[in-house]
Amino acid sequence: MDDHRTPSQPDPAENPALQPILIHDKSLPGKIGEGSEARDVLDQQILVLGAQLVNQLHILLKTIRIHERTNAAVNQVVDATVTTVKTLARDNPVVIRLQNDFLYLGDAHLKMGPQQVAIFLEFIDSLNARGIAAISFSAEMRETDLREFAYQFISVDPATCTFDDLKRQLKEGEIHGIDIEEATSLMVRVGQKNKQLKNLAKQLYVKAVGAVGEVLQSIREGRAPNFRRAKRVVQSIVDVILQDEPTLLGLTTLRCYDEYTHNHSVNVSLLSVALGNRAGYPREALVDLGLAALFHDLGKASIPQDILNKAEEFTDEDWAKLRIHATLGVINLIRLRGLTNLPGRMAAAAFEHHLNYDLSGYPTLSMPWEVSLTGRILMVADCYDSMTSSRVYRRDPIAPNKVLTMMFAKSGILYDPVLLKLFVNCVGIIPIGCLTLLDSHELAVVIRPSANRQTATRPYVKLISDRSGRPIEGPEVDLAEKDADGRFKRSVVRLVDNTEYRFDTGRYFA
Amino acid sequence: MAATMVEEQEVESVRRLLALLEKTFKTSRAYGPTHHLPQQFMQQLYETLAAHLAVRGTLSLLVQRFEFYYRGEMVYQKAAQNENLAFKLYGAGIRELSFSHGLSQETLSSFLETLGAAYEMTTSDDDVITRLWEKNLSAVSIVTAEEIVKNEEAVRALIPQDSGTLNTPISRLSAITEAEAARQADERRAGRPATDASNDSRDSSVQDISKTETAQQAKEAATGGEVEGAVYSPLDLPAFDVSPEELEQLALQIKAESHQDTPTYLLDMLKVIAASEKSADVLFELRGLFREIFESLIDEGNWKQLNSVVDKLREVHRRGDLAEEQKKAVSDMLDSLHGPKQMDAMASRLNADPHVATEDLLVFFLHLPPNAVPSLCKLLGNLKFDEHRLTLCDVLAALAKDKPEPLIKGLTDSRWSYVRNLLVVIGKLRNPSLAQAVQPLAAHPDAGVRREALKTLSMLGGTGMGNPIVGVLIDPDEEIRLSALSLLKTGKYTTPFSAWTPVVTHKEFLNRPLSELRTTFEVMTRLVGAECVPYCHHLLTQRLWTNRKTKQSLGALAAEALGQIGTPEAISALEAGKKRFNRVIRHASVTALATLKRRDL
Repeated sequence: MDDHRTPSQPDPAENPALQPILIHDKSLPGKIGEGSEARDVLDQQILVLGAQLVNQLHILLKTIRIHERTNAAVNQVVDATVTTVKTLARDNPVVIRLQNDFLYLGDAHLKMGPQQVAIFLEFIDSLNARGIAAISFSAEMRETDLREFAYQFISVDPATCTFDDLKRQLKEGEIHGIDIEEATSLMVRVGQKNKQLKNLAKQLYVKAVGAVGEVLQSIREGRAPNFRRAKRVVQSIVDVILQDEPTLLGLTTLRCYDEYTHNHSVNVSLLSVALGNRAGYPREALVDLGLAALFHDLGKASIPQDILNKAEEFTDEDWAKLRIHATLGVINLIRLRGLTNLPGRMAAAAFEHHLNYDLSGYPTLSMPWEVSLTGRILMVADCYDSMTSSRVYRRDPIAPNKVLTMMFAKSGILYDPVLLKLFVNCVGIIPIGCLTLLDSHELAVVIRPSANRQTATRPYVKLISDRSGRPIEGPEVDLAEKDADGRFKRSVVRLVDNTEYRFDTGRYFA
Repeated sequence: MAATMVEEQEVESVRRLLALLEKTFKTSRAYGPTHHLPQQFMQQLYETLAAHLAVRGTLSLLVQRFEFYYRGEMVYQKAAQNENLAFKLYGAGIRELSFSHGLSQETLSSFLETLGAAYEMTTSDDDVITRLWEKNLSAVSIVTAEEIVKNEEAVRALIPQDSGTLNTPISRLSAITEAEAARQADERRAGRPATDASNDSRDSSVQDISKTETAQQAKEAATGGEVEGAVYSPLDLPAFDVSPEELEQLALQIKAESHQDTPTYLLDMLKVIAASEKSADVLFELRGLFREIFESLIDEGNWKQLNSVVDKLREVHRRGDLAEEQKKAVSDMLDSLHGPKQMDAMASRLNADPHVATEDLLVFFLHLPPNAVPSLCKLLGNLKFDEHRLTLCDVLAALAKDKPEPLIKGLTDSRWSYVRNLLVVIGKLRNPSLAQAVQPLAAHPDAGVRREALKTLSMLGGTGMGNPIVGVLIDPDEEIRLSALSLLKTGKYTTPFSAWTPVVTHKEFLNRPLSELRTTFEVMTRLVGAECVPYCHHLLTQRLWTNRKTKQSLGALAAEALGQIGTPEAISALEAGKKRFNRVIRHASVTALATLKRRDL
């Protein structure tokens, strides 16, 4: 057993940071009212514990660098850290988060006292070096998990290993109760790296789904919904779409039919913003459009759930009830927002998304009506997403390319022809999510349209199987790429109907 | 240790900067941004901040509830929430604020303006964060609490599309390639072009697809079945090109959409829905919505908008193609305009503001149907300001013309001011048949009502028994008495002398001004004629021991009246008066007899 200690190393037994300072009654937070003085005291204590946890982790990482994992000094600091974690982690894991060189416990800033500055900065550096944005510890974490985690953490050389390497090692080490999160750039400083953007896009997608769910739930429960959160998410979505449209559009292939309405609403919003952007909507108007699209199906909140979730074929009566959701949407929106506060685009989206370009859809109108641009955009986005999704009453989706074919067959009748053309430019002539067979006999999924107008039929794809049909985690390939002889390296031979093979291409966007 | 990490000088500089920022913010709110004082501070702040950014680069501040931190050092703190910049940002959900190089004074000013704006938290989507986004301020960036808190679990919940139906595992990809290989082989055998791509062609893959799909489409056209493949015919790239003209058209539409009058647009939409929708559920909801719209517009006092709503509904109501249930629904919507809740809201609104746009209000009221009269009468009773009452009186005069019953019913109300207002309305109707209902009010306990009743009666031009009006002649209010006399003077009423007895025997009668007494005698003589001779005779012959002056005046008036009547009984009475010792009575009697003689000649 290694028990050597260099003079500069702290003695864990003597270090007060290793001693748990307070064990809370776990039910205490529930008993204390928000905004009360007691709550302030409790919050302060939690922050003190958070700072203590950082100290303990810092010492643990230092100690384990020089001692065996089973050394008594390591044991002591591990025990103390686990106690702190168990104190802090009640129902949810305790998360130490790094954001722009500030440490947070959850969303509360951990302030460093003068004595802690060096410790904090060193800890921050070690997280930054490994590309870690957050470490979460759950109450289920055992001493062995923490010991192993610390060991793996210091074993990874930041100079040669990536975040993924560390993550993989943690997984292989079967460490439970501890998780790490990769660093991403902030919204206001969106990073250029695709991966970071993709993570951000996913976060936004989830937040948008949450915002839709929250509003619909409020309406069902008769509470006044708040659209502010949704607006903030849409603002961020617009920022991402203005930077990297395909990343967000790729997410529209991720759909869970159990949450159809919410996912569909977000997808329609993403597609509408992308199409609106192509049509020339200014940045602020895109938010209006995105928000309008996000709540285009708001009227469904007034349709009985047993109809919305009916698995069997719809009867005429069911359809009649479902079809009024467009008008109910307008009524709900005006009720919620008032005539003077409701943006016209929001009402237009709800009212017109099933009207069709030639007004042949529903609701059937007995007075002249001019379909708005917002409505025409919604028609395209809504139809595309509906048909490429599986739904409760139609479980089999249709391949994106087939959907575009069908839509083009009705261009100028059901859909605005100009917008439809723009839409194809948006999702790609060979649309995102399409399964393709390449002349190399590889299978590939379209990830993003070609950036070059001249090679619009040569999108970026992700190779998913090799020549012999074996699945591979292939790279993203630009089909416009040429070899030294000026010949295209790969070309699409045909588009494969993934639904025919019951194969989901969405998994490559998850 | 802190001193080793952060230069104290730099921290101090940030502290001073934030103090200046706060001062600028405060003065700007107090005096307005155009005032010279905040402008002076703004200039100073901008120069200091720009100098700081030029030397130190980005200034990032951590936002806490009551404090700002800069590199771990607290650089701003205030315990009070009021005017606390940190609290303002923290409360808005901002956790970090950064100013970077290139910041302009306009940007800084715009930032503070956004921070100081008021946000309606219940109805608006906007707050500091959304507004800052809209301003798109270069060189000012924020980090929100939402951005810090990430939901990894939820992200993991993003699962691929319905694993229940599209459940082919990745390991079975070979099945797809095999099937596709077989399909290609079939195509070759069928004499279709080879599907192996030719690298000579720039877009060979697409051409192949196109050819395949064209064949498939031909097949589909022949069989009438669904399109099998994936192409949009024709698959030429130019087919997806959007021309500059098309983009220009879109730009115009976007502009028009952004500048449209939203409430009008929404009302048009509701109009179309009301005219088109036959679903009972929707019509029910629509009725509720219109009730709410009315209430809300009334609360706002937005009469103009209210008039637009009513216009649209009336337009729908006039349509001949409405189904019965639609027509009824629209009628209900219009009727709800004068429902009890709406009228209460209207009263509250009007009582809160004496200066409303009378013209718009008048138009709104006049839009109401005649069956709104009872509700409007109720509203009239609840109004506080004369301006509004007058407007409503004009409206009621127009709406109740044919059905004045609710007005008459209201005359028994205990609120005298309300009754007075109703009388004003009734007077405007000029309907003589209503006089009978008004006459009793001449004896109303309230002088105002009595006065108004007489005025109304004079406007109505009523006829018949005038006893109640004569009864008013004992009213202590001279103006009322004169009004009654004036009314009686028209001669449209008939009265027996018995109705006058209480008047002429009233203890105050002798104290009336001579002019009033004269008019009274004139009117009485005209209405009762010879019936009053005995009374006049009495006045000529009565003793004058008390109130001599008044009694002799009355005697003179009686002589004049008898002269007018001219019956033998009247002459006989005058003869008796001629013998009186009192000079005035005697003289009046002689004159009256002489007049009679001249008339007989």
